[in-house]
Amino acid sequence: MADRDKIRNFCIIAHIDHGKSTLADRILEKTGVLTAREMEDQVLDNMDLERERGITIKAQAVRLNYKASDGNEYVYNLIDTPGHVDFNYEVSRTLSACEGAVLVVDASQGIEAQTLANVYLAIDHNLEVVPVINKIDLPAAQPEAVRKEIEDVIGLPAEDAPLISAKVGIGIEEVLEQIAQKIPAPKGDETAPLKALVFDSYYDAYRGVIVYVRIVDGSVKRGDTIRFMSTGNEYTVTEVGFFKPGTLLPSAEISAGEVGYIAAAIKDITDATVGDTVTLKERPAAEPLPGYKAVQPMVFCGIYPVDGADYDALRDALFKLKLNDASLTFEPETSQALGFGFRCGFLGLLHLEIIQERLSREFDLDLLTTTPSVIYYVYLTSGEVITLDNPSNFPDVSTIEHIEEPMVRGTIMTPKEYVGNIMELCTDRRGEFVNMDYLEETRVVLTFNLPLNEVIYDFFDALKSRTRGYASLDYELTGYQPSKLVKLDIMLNGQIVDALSFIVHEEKAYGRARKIAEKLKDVIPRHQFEIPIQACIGGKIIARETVKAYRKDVLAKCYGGDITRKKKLLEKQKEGKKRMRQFGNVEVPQEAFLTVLKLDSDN
Amino acid sequence: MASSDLQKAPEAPGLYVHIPFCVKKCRYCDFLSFGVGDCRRRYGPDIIERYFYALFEQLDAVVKETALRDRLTPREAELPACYDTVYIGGGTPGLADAGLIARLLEKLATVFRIGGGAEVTLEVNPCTVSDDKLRAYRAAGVNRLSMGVQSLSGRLLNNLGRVHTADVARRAVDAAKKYFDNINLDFIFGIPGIAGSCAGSAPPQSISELRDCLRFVVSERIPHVSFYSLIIEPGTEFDRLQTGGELCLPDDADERSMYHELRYFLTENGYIHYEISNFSKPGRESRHNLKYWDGTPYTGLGLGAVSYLPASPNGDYLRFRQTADLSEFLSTGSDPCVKDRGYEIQERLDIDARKRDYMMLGFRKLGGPDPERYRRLFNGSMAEDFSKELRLLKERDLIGADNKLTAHGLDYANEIFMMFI
Repeated sequence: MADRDKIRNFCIIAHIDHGKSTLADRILEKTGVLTAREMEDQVLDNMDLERERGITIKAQAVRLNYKASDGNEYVYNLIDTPGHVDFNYEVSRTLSACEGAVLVVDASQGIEAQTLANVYLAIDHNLEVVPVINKIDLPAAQPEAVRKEIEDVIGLPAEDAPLISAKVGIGIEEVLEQIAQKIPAPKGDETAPLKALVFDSYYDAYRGVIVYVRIVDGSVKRGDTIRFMSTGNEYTVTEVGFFKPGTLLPSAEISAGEVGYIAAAIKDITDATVGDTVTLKERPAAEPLPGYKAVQPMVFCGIYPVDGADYDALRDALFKLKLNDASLTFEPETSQALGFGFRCGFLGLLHLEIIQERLSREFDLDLLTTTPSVIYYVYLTSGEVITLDNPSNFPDVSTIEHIEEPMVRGTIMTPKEYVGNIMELCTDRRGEFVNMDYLEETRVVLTFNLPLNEVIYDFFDALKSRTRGYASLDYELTGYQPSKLVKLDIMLNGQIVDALSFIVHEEKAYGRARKIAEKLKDVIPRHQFEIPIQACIGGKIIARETVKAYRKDVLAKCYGGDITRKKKLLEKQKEGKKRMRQFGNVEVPQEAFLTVLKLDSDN
Repeated sequence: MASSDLQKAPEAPGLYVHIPFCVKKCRYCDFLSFGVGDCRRRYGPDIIERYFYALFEQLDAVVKETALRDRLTPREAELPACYDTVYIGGGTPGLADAGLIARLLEKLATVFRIGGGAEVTLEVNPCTVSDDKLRAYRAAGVNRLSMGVQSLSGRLLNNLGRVHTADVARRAVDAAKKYFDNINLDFIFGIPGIAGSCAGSAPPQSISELRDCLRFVVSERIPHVSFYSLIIEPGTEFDRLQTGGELCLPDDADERSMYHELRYFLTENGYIHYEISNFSKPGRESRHNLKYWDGTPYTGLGLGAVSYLPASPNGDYLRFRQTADLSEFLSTGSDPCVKDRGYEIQERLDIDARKRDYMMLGFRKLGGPDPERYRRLFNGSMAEDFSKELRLLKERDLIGADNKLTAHGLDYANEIFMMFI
């Protein structure tokens, strides 16, 4: 067990691509946990998907030993944080587990939106921020200008910020030194009742759920009976320990100030939710750590196998992902158009996309996804209230008294030149302007009330594209508000395709209907007959397009040399057909479903 | 030709020789062919002669090298099979000196067993024929001429990038008729207009422009014609023009009315519509081309030529292709396998794959695949082996109860072909 004075718990924060993961790798290398040969680039982001997207989805932690120039041996706990608004709650819990943050700023690009958003988040959590200036090896690097910017814009002293290049390994030693010098040792009372903050968890087939904790007070060891304070569930601890890269190192005990894991044969990951407080049954803490929120899925959609025979495989895959993802929910549903599938709940659109991609990559499933929806409250004339997250269950219009939709308070941080663009975007998304604050001369914080159902349609992408990536977004649910919502149906060849239906505000229905019809016209291949595409509300058609019929589909020539080549062409044509879904006599490619999902992305 | 030879004909293999040179590459063409001007600049003025010599050298190697001969020639018991069709295609083989064609045919006859009544076709372009050449071809043993006329409208010929005019084509047909009674003319329909720099967009081929061709064929009593529906192939000049928005293609519906009209007109005038794009007077079908659709083996010689031949006693066939690289094809050397190395196997077909090919290709013919022939080739029942596919095709009215292509099936034949892929 380490001397608490010599423990440093910290994370690394940075704007995307400023070198967070590369610095983490160098630190691992320098502290000798990994030899260069063992290193795979960017060890901490260990999902393919994370590496590709350059984002961290799951938090990771690793414990390192460092002998500083003062002669002392320090224990460093480096915790990697997720970096997207969908996971903001997880980020805040991770930051709560640290005393300090290493802020990485790109010497050629300077401070950017995410840098600020992350710094403020860190400061909100009372973290000591240690700035470092990275990529000084680049020809365009301007370290002194960036140093000044850190002082002027963020207000952090930066005169001794290390100038480093994580890529080529310059200045890493200096970063390690400053972590020891500047970041405070954890506080906490080892003798007080156990309070451990859960900041992540994953499912291990042999040990059950591995719960990532920061011990705030007290200590925990094998054989203890722990209690999760939000649920009251109790388990006997089978193992505690620390994190080594890619592995776990069991230990006799973990105590106040330390970061480690607890295994207690927990079967279900939802029993160890992020933000919860773990205490001991024998001597419980009087109250939990502040800030716990039960995570509720906010976005729902149907996921269906393209091939009905894959239903069981899809169910198994969802169960497997659920083992490591407490915020994913699912239950079986059926669609007239798509057959048997699952209604799934997600934290946000990115979470949805990640799950979708993991299902297709890791489990090799071909999937169809329906338009995402939020939870609406439908008040019926009978006095009954329905919770609606699936357009298919939209009740008959004549029975509806009114509908309420979820609202969020959106906080957008941006350089001031983009304020106009953002105002326009938010107004277009039915947002209500609340407030604008100047952070400093060139940077503002805008606050809007926005309907969540507008935010889940690629709002984040639209915001990024209108601000050249500089704006950052945070939102929190504020409640429900009555709204004039209607269900928009899409008919192909006169038949409603339930999987394409969605709920939309009355005023936006017409524009959206027209766009969908146009897009579908492009993605639905021509058939041997004409296909009307109609968008309607109730029985009323509000937009129409037509896919013209094709009149021929025949290879004019096929002689000796051509046969193999022509067969390949036909194979391709046939393969394309296989990937389509039959609705009545209309074949619809999967793209059509994505079209509806990404409707505004190419504005 | 003795009638007994005709009886045996369907089983005899065919021989194809590819000559890849043209006066100029047409805008729609994605065949393996090169404008001869470019080739002369790159390979020297005698490129055509060199190409023929390379072919001759390969033929000599076939005589000397048992392995090569065995690969290129199917055997009937102990004897190599007797070929009953020879097809010299391109490109424009008629571009070559008639003497080279004569030597080629002579050489082929010494290397392969070619039946006395063999159909010997030569492809020509209207602007490369002359009375002398035609007489020489005939004397050399060519007995069927295939001429790419494509259209009889000056503006459409121009759009296609053809080098000849309508008048040249008419005169060439006249001349050809003096020496040949077995003639095929190739036509294209659905020809696009091309947006002119000043005139704006020019209209696509009209139905009356098509009728000119039809009337010509009938009045000239041409025994065989092909009408190909124009397809914009990737990599062609037309493909580029289309991408640039310069092509004015006919509406699908108009294009199909042309097809329906030409089909009606030709059958009314005594032609048999025997393959999707081919029509002939009775008994004048292209025996060579039928081999492709009947699953009959063939040997392909020359640049990029494909052979389809038995590969093992278990019934496997190979479809393999000679190099498509002209420099490689021209390379000479003392190594006997130098003429061998440019082969690439495209497909190895076991009995099941051959059966599917037989069905797919068989349905290019209006009469569909022949169940009797199927039984002979595969010792099985077509109706049983493909009962599901045939039922589905009938349900969709792509073929009739008699397993023949319906009018609907003719327009959507890919749907039929895909059933067997």
